[in-house]
Amino acid sequence: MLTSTVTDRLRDLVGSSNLITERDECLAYAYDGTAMLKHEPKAVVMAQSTEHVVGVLQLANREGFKVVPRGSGTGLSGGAVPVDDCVVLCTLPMNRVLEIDQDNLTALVEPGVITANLHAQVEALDLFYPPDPGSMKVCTIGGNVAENAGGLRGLKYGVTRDYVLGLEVVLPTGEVMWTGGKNAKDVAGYNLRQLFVGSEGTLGIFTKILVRLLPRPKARQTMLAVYDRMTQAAATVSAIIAARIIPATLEFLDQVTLRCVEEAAHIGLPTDAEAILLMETDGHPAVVAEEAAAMEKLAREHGARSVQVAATPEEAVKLASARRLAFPSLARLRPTTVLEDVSVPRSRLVEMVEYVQRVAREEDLLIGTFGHAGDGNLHPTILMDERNADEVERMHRGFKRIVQKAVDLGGSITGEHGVGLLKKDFMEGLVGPHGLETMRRFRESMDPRQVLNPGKMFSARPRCE
Amino acid sequence: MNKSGWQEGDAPADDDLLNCMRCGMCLPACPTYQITGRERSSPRGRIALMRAVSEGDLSIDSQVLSDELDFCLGCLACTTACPAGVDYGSLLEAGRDQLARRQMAWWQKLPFKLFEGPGRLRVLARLLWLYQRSGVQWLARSLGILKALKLQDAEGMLGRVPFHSSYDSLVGEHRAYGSEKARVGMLLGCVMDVLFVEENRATVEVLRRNGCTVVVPRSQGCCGALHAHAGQLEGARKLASTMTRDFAGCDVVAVNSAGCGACMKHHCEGLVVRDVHELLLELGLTPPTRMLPGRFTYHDACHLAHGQGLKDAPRTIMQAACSEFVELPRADRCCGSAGIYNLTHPQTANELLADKLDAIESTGAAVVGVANPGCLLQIRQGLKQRGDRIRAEHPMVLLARAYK
Repeated sequence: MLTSTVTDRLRDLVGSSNLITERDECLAYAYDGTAMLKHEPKAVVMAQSTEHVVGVLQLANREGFKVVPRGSGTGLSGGAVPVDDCVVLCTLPMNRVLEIDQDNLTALVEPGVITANLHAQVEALDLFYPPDPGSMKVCTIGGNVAENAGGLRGLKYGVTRDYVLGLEVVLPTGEVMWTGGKNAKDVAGYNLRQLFVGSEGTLGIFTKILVRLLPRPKARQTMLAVYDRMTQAAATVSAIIAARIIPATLEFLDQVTLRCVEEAAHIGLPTDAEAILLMETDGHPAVVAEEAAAMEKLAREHGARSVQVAATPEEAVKLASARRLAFPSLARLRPTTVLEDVSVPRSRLVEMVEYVQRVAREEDLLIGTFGHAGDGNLHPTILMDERNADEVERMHRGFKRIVQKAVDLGGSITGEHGVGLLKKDFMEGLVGPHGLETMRRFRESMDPRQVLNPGKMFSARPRCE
Repeated sequence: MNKSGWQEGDAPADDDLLNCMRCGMCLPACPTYQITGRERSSPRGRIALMRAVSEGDLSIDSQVLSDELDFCLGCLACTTACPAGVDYGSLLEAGRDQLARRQMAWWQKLPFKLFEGPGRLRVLARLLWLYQRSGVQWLARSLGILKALKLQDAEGMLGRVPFHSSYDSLVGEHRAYGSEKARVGMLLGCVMDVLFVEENRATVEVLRRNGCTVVVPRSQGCCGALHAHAGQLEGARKLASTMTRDFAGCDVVAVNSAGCGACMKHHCEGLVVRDVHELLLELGLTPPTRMLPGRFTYHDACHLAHGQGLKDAPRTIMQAACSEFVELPRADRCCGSAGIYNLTHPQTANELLADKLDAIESTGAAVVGVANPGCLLQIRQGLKQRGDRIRAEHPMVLLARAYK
């Protein structure tokens, strides 16, 4: 229990300037970026060092309170939403880039480094850290690793998982462990570090993160294709892949979304079109030119009403703004914005989008869909008012149907936002009883006292609750 | 849901509070959050606190709430960053209005009275002129009275108060040079009127050169921005309605002070209000007769860039008048002036000012364009203290010079 004696011990550990116990201020840590989830923590620790993290976890194991890790609180599955009797452990103050190794192409950073700041630092050296989640100006690398964050470049460059080389982890029981390293090849033992990537703050708290860097692509070309039929857009995506081209970006907006964008920003999108595709290729200038020409041709062959090719970097920014404005334009429509995140095999994309549209009709919901057509990760966005009980019920029903459909199509309940609190009830349906049992066993052995982010991702065994 | 903790009257609107989806995109834009690193000092945190009051989870008398609404600069950088279009400015004003009604003593409201009757500030300006010229200032400074009263910063910021306000010389009608494109009412402002006489004169001159007949009504007072900013919404509305009456009959009202313009666009119903840069471009800018020599840069006043969404217009005008224009790093970050914030929170204001001055110095510019009286006072004072030779000038002054 987090009694006042225990908070005194916390204060001794981290100092009073790094401990928040005042109830009113704790209200400002009751949420993350997930709609409609809120729970007050009892205290917040602003961790300045690995020692602080160790101290808090050791104390939690002794005294039996819970610990919820947090970065900037931009998560979209409730991973950083507090639980009963918990301390929020915020790693935001640990925000140094410790090393950029230009020989081995790695960067060693603390968990509180803002993703866009890492981008800026490595790009100044003509290097490249590809993961670019939508919140990259705000979110932290620590949170990105915990959630295995994706972004717009997933198709060609993969996600955060593909860039984590090593981790310093404080285990749930308070020990400090290092896993991985700068070696390109290393097959010794179980690959523990990959187990921590995407563990959503349930298996440990990262205090140092070693990431892989790439040379920065020298050239890039951006195109925007407009389609009368969504199936034509999907056919273009398939044709591009069949032509053995892996574009850096293949982003999709449905009609609801592109109408919202046009209404909000007046950038000249045809509102009678059913879909648009934003396409980008990057790399060696000669290859980029060749691929861009091929992609444009394929788009036209598959029925694109128009294909705009950016002539200048400024034009590229303008074309990309259609996709960049998708979420903001939708979010303005109604008070509550529920951002969904499902993933299906690329070949099932059209079925998924059509099903979302069906759900919108049948449940009388306003849903705009956009997302990463290249990697099959879609963000159906439900726009509603949480004060309307009937609409909330329809939203929950629609949400459930969409997630279930993704599973039925051989997809996943989440592509890049994580399970957290939002989707833990869908876990067994996705991974099966043995999958879930293996995860539970693993978690129990790592965190026997259920200290770290309990109730997230999946519930503990019924007997323990 | 419990009963709302707000009192009757103006209160943060539930619709606006709910619009915040807590995505956090405002965090990197917020200067106070950047300073403290605490969620409570961020727009998202402040909205969460206000929402807690609305939902009956937090007392209106919470010290954290009142400290943070007070600590906020009101720079509105968050509204530019916000994807959901949350009207943070209105939330802040209404939240402050609620707290002011509970907390403000009668004597704390006295300074606002200065702005409520036309001419009151001009009387004060005359007194200040007398103070500066009569030797009392010398006496007060040398005896350390100002220091003892903690007024030395505010006093130093004033510069030399001119004897004549711009009102004295500008009231009336000034015919457009050449054919008339528009009949434009001009707001002299309260602070602009007494401390920025040259800036107001230059604005009239520029407007006339751009085909505007400029009307300066005799009975214009204060726009109410300072009131609204401090949570005196009733006073602000009263002043705004007076404004609407004073400028009736003008096609458009031109404003050369960013804070006043933002406030009037928001509160003066029935008036067509334009920032002067915006208006000039809408009318089609008369090209300057020469380019001013040297390197220039431009600082975004918060209530122009964020409050009115005007970033390009003043730059276009600077570029038309200046032979060399360079961008200022983080140009749209608050300079710390923020109304009277530099008087109420000198430490934070000075921290922001130091960053701003460093940025200005890094450009190597000789002149920085600044289109708001508060920022002009703040940045000029900062440059003076550092012994910099860089000057801060209103773009209208620069443009008027380029017409000569």
